[in-house]
Amino acid sequence: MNQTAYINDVAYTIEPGETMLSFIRKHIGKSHVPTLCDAPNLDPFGACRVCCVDVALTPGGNMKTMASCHTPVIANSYIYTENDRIQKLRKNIVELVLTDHPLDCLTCEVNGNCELQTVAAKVGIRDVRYPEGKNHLHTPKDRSHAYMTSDLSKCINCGRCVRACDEVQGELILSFAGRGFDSHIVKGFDQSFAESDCVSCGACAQACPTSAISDIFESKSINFTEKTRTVCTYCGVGCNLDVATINGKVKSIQAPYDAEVNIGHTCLKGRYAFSFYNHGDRLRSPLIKRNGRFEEVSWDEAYDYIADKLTAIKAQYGPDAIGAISSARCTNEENYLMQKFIRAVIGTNNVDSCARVCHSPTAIGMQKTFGTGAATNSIEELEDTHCMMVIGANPTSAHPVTGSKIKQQAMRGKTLIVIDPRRTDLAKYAHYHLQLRPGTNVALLNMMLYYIIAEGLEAKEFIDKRTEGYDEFRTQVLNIDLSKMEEITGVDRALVKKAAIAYATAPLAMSFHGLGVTEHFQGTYAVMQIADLAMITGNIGKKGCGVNPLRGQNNVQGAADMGAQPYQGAGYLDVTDPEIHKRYEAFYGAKLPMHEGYKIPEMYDAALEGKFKALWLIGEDIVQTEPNTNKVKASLEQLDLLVVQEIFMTETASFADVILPAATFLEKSGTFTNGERRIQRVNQVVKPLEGTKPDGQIIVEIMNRMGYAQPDYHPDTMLQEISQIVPFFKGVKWNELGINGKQWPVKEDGTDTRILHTETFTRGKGKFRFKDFTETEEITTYGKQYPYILTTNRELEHYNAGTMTRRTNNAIILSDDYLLINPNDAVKHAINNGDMVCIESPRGKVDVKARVTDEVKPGILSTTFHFPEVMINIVTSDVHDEHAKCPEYKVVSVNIRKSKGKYKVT
Amino acid sequence: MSKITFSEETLKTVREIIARYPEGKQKSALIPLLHIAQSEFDGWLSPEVMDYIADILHIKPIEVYEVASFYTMFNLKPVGKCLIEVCQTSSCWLMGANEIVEHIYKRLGIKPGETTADGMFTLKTVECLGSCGTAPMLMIGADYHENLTFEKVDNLIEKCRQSGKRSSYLVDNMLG
Amino acid sequence: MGKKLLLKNIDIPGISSYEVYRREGGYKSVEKVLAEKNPEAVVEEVKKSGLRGRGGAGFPTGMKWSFLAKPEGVPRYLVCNADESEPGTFKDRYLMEHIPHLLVEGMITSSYALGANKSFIYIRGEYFYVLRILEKAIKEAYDNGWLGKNIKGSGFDHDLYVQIGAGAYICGEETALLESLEGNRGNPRIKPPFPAVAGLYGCPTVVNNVETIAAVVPIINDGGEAYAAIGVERSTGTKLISASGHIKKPGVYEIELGLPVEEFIFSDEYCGGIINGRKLKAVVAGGSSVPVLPAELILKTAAGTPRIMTYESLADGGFATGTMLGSGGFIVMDETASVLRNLHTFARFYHHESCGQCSPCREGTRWMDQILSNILKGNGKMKDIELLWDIQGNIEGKTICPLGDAAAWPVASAIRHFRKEFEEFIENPAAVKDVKHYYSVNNISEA
Repeated sequence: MNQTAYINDVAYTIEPGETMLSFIRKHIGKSHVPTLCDAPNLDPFGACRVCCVDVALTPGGNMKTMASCHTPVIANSYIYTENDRIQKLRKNIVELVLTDHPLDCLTCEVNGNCELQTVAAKVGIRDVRYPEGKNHLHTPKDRSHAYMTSDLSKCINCGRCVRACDEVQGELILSFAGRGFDSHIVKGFDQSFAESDCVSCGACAQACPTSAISDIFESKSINFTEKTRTVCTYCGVGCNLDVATINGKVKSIQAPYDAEVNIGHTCLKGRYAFSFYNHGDRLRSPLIKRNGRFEEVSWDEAYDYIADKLTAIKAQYGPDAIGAISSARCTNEENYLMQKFIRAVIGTNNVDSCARVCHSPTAIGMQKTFGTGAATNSIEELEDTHCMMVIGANPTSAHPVTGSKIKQQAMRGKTLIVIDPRRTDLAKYAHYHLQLRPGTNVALLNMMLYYIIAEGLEAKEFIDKRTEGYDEFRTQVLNIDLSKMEEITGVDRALVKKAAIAYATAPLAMSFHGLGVTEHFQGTYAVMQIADLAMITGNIGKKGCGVNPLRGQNNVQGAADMGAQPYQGAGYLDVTDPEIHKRYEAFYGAKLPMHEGYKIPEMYDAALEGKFKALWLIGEDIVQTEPNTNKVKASLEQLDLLVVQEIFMTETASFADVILPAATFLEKSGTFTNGERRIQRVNQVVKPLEGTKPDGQIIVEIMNRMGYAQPDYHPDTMLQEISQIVPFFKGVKWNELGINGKQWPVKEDGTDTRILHTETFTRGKGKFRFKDFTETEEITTYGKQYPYILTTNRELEHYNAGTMTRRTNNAIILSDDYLLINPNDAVKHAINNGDMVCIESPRGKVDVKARVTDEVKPGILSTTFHFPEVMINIVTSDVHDEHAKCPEYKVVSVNIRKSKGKYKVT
Repeated sequence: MSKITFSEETLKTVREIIARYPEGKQKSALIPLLHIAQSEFDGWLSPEVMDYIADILHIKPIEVYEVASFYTMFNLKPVGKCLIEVCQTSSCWLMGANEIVEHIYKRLGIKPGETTADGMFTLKTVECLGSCGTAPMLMIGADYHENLTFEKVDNLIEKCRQSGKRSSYLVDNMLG
Repeated sequence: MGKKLLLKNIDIPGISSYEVYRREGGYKSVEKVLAEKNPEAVVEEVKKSGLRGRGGAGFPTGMKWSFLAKPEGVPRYLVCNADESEPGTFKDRYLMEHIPHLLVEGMITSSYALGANKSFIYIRGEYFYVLRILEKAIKEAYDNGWLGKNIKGSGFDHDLYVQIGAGAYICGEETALLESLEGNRGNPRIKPPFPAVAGLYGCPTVVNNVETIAAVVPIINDGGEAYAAIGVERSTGTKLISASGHIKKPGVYEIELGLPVEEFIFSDEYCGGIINGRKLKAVVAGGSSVPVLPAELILKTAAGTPRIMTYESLADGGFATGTMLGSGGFIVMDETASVLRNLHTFARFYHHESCGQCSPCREGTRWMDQILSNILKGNGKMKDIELLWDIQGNIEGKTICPLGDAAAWPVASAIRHFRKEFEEFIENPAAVKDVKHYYSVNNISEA
């Protein structure tokens, strides 16, 4: 039965458990009751008391004053929101607050957009009656940091920043020190922002109701009210961003509270690292290399040059001598166009994307086991789950918003299992950290499977009903040599057993994996085992569980969905299947090849063999990011034509014959699909920089130039086309995506899908296949001679090759790649923090700055490849996952020595 | 300053204290541990000491700092060897607490919050210590000195000087 | 001579030791409840006794116990509030120091009733020496099989620990106490949820005052009805009163509730009258937070009936003319005392002790201290009285925890009953003569 309560004597229906404040806001209006310490993404705090209302049990009866923000509505109660008593109370409280707040509103950066100012005006403060007294008005400003600023003389002790730091980011950098009137906000041990361990997520600045905590962009300024909502381009989380502009210039970025993905939160890359977009280094004209030098040319000239070359190469060597690497940074529509161009215009399946070097094993592995190579569930289900298993992923750096959500749940006491060679930030919060030797995931996961079976913890009913191949699988798992696996992984079997039991006995368990799983010789196998773990425990097809790859790039999911893969076309349809081939040919109106094309590493091999002559690259700096740099360079040198679409001159672009200046994500529209299959609208914020064009438009123009009629790039019309060929995009329409997008598959009527495999698997039954551990060739061949294992990771501040983030203040916060080295190893080689270390592998050598830390075990090293000065991929290997051809970035046999200076890269 | 670590014996106590609390709730030991640390490390909590405690409890240093700065018995700055805490609330005031403070000022030349030049005494006024029936009173270490007279105060000062020991809340009956 | 339940053995030499305490009938209540194996019956007995929380709020203890949630598989906790910090109150310290086993016994008996296998006594940091006494008593209880696994073969396990605080009055508020016990700043929690549902570590928890827990022992030994037979109406049993200030015999007294206030102040059995033959001026009857009353209103209600020491009689007349029994911290001021100066020590106290969470309390306590200080220094203005009145009104009932109320009531009552003293100070501060005995050292200020 519906219960009611009264607001100012009018009856409204109440919902169970709702607070008075949300009840009042819903029925009377959002700003009817003033508040100071309340914020949309924070738990009620009840500290400012400005939201007080009077409550009586009879109309106008005996009143009790209560804070509406945290008090649940009482059925049949009478709430009075603005009687004289309440109005006086609010006025008096705000007056008290103003006794310790500077009254310099006119010169304050948030003048006109200050919550305190608004509330003071609303309650009608005209003067402050108090005498002179002790105050905090002389607290010095903090301008030490690359982004964050504070002026704590403006602080009103509402605690929003502290709670944002704790509840939203989970960093615990900001806190209250002191007590009572002396309580004040501190960063770390009363340090400056720069000295503290602040991760610059900006949640505190967004939460602060005044300008006490802000940022260098003065993001809360009233001037910046012209806002465009779009989607971040920095990772697969897919944060929504509100980008403020003035006169076509980006001024600041805030995170919208109504975004389902990020609920008012984002990281320093999303929020602050945008100044690259109009950086002086941006490419502003097409360039053609003549006599070893790039010359500016017109678009027409560039197009003619490319078209002529491609036509000639195709005529001489056939279409399979041409290929493209599409970009996971670009929109779905652009990726669709790129693969269409290669298939329908050139006539080859040689199109791939950077999914190859990151999550291709996920796509293949999950397709083999479940039938669909994408995350089965949604990140928001972290709220529902009981156990989180994070394997080979460091989301607090690489997927910060998801990382902080996982951390939040762990801090609340949910079981967290971390499987990682490094003691990552999350590992510090984990109940079980299985710190295995890099490259031994398969051995470790088999141990977990073993214990689940041996302990009789399988979900028997689920296995019977929903899967196949179990009996054989079970026998094989039980046959593994535990002692050997223990030795190989270096993880105590008792700990593995505990973790396995924790995962299997949790009512709901979710797994998350990253490149620490895929970028291995046995990457696909490990993905299948993660899927096996989910099936064997029945953790699939319902809320709060599943297998959830953390996709690296903002649209790496979409690039594969759209067919930027040499063996599957748009919608993952097999290009070698005659029926499907026919369908594609009819749809594109072109003759298509029926054999698979080259995967990225095969392109290099083919180039070196002289079979592959032209490569078109969008937004990929393969020289810096692909393994075995010297081989990549050599293969590029063999090409007759290298076309690079880029926003900056990169290591790779310097090898190009033609460079086409592209637009950034802020300058175009389209859709990105995040790691949870959510198709979200990217909306153009500013016009493309003069001389640049959106990637999609460039492809359309070259298609037209080469005789294929393709209408101009527009997401609406593109989606109309895509929805006709990609089955799971059937109901995707530009105008119906709304602010939070839709998760595929989207049915024709527009309904989307939160959870996959609820009734049956895409492939019918889930398939168990046993996979035994095999040592990587890198170790078997070079392990003796190069006894250290180097693995690679990411830093929070930089994104991939750093092309964009190095051109922002992020480079002030972190300006180098670092080599993580265990203190024991450091001592052995007389290496101190900050020394240059020469890393040598069979492929080459590089110098990196040492960071001595017990985050890595002895014998293990880890580093990043954000800076071209280091070019760490000179040493990485040529070993690939045997199914997906994903390179093994994560296990490199190396030797180290202290280096005198910087080793010159030649 | 020597490296900050508890003695093996103290560590045993520390482990016993931590074991009182349910798994994962070891932060409950924070306040008891800070008392021990303050007593062992010169009567105050330096950032290094707080870092050490954070390490023991697997929490962030700021979680120690925010707590340490909340409770008035923790000194975040060095104090004299003998910390004299005079109650000044209601009953103690009615019975002459301020005369006691004034008397100490005359004897030692320090006002509340100050330390003698030789680093021997710090004077602090504190709020009600629950000794209202025996007012006025002061506290040195764990010891309550009640029904104070100027003579008693003089005596205490003399005894502190003679003992030369650092006062600690963990030590009862330090002046005999 | 009134009946004594808690302090009846206080004068027996060695009562603080286990042997003597046991010899005098100690731990019988534990034997009794373990033998009867009926925890609900223990709760019923406490309900019957009419025992009300002795920490200050006076909430019926049996009812508080019956609110304790009992979800399957979740531990429950009993936490004893020994954070006695209310100015004028020192009864718990007295009890713990002199008869520690009574509290230990009460903790075990009460924990059995509540089904708690672990309990804590949270004691204020300044009582470090009492902590040692309690630790010794607890060790003796373990050594004699009253604590630990399978107590006396009953199958009931119980561990009892003492947790030390570090100087924060606010930790006497039960949710702040729980925060502190969890190793956090002592910021009170917003309610709901109440501790009975989500208290220590998020588990159902009962928080009771030392005296309350101790009173459970005689209630179980002699029955709830016998306890309820003492006292007047809803004020049953005995109460420890901490008497201090300008009286001949300050100290802790166990009184039967219902004792006339006049008898308590003037009888030789209790306070023994005012020192130096002076006249009674005012009384703070239940610790610093309750309203101060002038002599005529503490001895008789506004209606003229003699006041007695019960929750109801002291509150008669509401805040206009009455006060509260509170924690039983009975501070007596004689005719030479300045109510205003005493009030300033209270205001300074609350300013010092506010946790700083709620704006009205954080800012308000600080301004009340400062404005009173201004008045006492001779810088007062008449409108300051109205400002003080406004501030206390903003705080009272408007904050997360009752510290706000506690800070507001002394100010409100002083203005209500002693407005003339304020006006005298403001109009002609030079004319206000301080009796020499009292503080007049303006040249000493906080460094």
